[in-house]
Amino acid sequence: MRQMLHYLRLVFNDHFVIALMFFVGGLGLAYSNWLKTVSPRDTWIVLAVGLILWLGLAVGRIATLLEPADTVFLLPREHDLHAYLVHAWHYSWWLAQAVQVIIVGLTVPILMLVDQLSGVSLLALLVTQLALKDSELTVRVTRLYRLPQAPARWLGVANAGLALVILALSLLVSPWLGVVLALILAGGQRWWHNQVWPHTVVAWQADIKGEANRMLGIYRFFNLFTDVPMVQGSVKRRKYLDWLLRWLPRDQTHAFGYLFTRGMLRGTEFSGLVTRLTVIGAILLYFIGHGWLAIGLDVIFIYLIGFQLLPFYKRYDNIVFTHIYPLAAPLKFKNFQRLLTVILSTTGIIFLIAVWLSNAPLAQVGILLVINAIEIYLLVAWYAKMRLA
Amino acid sequence: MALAVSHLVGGYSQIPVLKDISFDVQPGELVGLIGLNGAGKSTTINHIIGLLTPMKGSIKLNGVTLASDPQQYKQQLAYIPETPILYEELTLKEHLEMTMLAYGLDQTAAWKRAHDLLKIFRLDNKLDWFPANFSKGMKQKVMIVCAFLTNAKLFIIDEPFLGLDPLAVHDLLHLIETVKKQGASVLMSTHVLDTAEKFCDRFVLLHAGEIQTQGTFDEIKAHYPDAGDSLNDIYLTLTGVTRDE
Repeated sequence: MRQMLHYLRLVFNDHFVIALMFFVGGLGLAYSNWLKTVSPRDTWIVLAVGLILWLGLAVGRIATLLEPADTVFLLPREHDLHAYLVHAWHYSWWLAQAVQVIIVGLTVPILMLVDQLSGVSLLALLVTQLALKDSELTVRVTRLYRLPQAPARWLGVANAGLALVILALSLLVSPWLGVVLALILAGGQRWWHNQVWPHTVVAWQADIKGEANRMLGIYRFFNLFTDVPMVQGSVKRRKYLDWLLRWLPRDQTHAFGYLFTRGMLRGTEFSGLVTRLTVIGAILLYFIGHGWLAIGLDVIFIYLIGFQLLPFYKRYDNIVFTHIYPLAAPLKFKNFQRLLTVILSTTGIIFLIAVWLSNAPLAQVGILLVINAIEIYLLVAWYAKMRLA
Repeated sequence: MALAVSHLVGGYSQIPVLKDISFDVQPGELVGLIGLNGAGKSTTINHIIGLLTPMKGSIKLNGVTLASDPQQYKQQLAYIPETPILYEELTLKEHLEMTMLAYGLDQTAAWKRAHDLLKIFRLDNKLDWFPANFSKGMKQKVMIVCAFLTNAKLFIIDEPFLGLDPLAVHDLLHLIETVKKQGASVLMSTHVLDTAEKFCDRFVLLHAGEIQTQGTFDEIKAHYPDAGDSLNDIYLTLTGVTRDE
């Protein structure tokens, strides 16, 4: 938990808070703009909302915090583990339900517009959603135990299927019917859990694996914004990208370029960072498209990518050969600048296309092109040099 | 004279590990650098390959120091580390290409040489693999192939015999023999003394940052007549002497 706070502090650094403000603002703007175009006759939207609510049920898991060592040390006290798991269950329950409240809250404006739902029936929908999430979490806890083969396979699927049916009924037929059915499902799952667990054993291996996956997911998420030691970038061959490498000059002055480009394309760490930020930025620009906000967003995203790529320069410093190659000292930095220029220009062009596709006037695309060129020049020739060389 | 180390004082921090070390390696000569753990072998090697800067004294490679002409100095040098060091993102083929580019080698000639070396070390069918996932011995072979790809004047080999299979040890010794005939010098640090005794032309025995003795095996034996018949015995006696002090 403390580690989590530590990472949160790193995640919410100044740059990120600025980008996040733009991001949330942009999404909010796009959402409210879109709401204005919605008319009461678009019933397919109700179906979409149902689907979103149903998918939203999957958000939120049980944090068991089990570790591999626990199989050794906790095995003798297995029966007592239930009390601990219940504790973890309650803890995770509040967190998961808070997320559900937010999800339902986000869909409220659509439902009021399209379905003309009253306040009371919206409340009924909220209760339905919470009850369904409760049943889903109960299934997760039950599955921490070793079950006979048939229930092990069908329990999760059946519960999800029933949840879909109940959501459909509550949106299309009556919210009150949904509430009743959802509460029955939640109660039933809890009853069955109490029937099952005293007569079986904890599925240690699966639970530990599941918990490790859950933690890895969280660390991966943090790793989007900061370096988490638990998530080490892996290497993928990515043979389909080899054609990109064929264009590059191959001589002694570009030896570091040879290394840098391959490291960039095949390591997941930096290439993932560039791809994610480029895709997010392009989507935002497509929705915002016009005016100062778009220009600011474009500048900030290119800066974020450029500045987070700088540590890649030192990626190979612990490999002794990079120090003993007979290469002139400035070559490494020159090669790095070249790589940085190529990456940032590609991102810049993708951003320009996104802006252009959003029907922005050509003049604005032109202005943005000039701004991007100046920014990339400053980043590569001045900022990178100041920080690295 | 290929490598000339004279009155070298150096180390990692302010406190010198090496205290006034002088030795040389002639063209076509294999010199064994022998010493206990912590005797200063790696420090000496790190000074020669240019990772550390001498506090006093000089290291010259065919008359060039690292400070006077770094590129010329580094061009003459190839290094095989004790623990293999590889680029995670490069395939075996790309490791070789990277070496060729970095040393500015002619691609056609270098590839011809590379294929011969790969065949010797049975790596020729693994060109598209990531050597980072190889076993230790195979990684070491990659290091050897990369080093012998260059036409260096001085090869520095740090403890080559641990982790290699017997066939590879034999092939490596044969390679060293070949480059020696072409006039290159080899400086090799090792703990495998019976192999060193058989193959090295001369020895430098380091102890506690100082050179205890140096010369051919016969010279050393003549110098310490009571110490025993093999390099192993002499070495144990010598370190034993200092242990009693």
